[in-house]
Amino acid sequence: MSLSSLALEELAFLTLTGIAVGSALIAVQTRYAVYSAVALGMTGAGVAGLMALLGFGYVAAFHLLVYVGATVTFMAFSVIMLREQPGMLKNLVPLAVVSAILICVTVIVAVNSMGIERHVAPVEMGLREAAEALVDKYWFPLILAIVSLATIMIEGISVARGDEE
Amino acid sequence: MIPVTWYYVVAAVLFAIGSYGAVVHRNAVRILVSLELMFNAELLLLLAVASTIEAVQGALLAILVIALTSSEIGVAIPIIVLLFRLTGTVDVTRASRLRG
Repeated sequence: MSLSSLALEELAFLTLTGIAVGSALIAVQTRYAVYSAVALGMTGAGVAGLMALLGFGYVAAFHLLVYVGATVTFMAFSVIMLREQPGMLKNLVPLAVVSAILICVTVIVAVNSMGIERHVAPVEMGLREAAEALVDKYWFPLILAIVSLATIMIEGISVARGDEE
Repeated sequence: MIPVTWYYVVAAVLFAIGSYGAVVHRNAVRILVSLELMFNAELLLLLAVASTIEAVQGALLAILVIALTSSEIGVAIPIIVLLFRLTGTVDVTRASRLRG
């Protein structure tokens, strides 16, 4: 791997991290729930980019198509139907900040103490290999996932129909 | 080669932001968005760890988790819409009125 491609990879990582963390902050802090849902979509896109950088290209594609493309869009359009509500429990803000910092430190320390490899090359795995494993070994969870995705469609239709009989 | 530790840090920061949002908001939609931020963080963490241990199984688990989370949102949003229809608000501190 050349020096320029390494710098490019790091630049991509920093850009995607900026998108993911920045839009996560917007999602939590913005006054309007619709913008919050849109910012969640941006975070999902940033996380999908980081997945692709790790080498999980088709998981990133699935995340973009199913999660960002369908689910978060469904959430954003549903939120439009609701009136904006006043927002925050201000007396809990200091407690929430302290607990968030503690959670952040705990996760980093816990995962680092697992003693796994620190440097990792992007994973190389074929779609055929993954598809065969999914169909041969994990067919039952696959059926559950298909049924679950079908429920999204039914729920969406139910919400769209409302009280109409 | 980017150290995998960096991915852990990003995931931990995203998880912390999500937990902050879940604690401070009263609006059910905003709480759901915060929980989804935490989901994105754990998904990134799962794949970062899987890339060092068992990539194929980690990827398959991630795909199934994405599908199930999509279903979860598909169920949670109609519940919030119904809460709004019944009470005229999505304030979770007032949802206890639905008891009895």
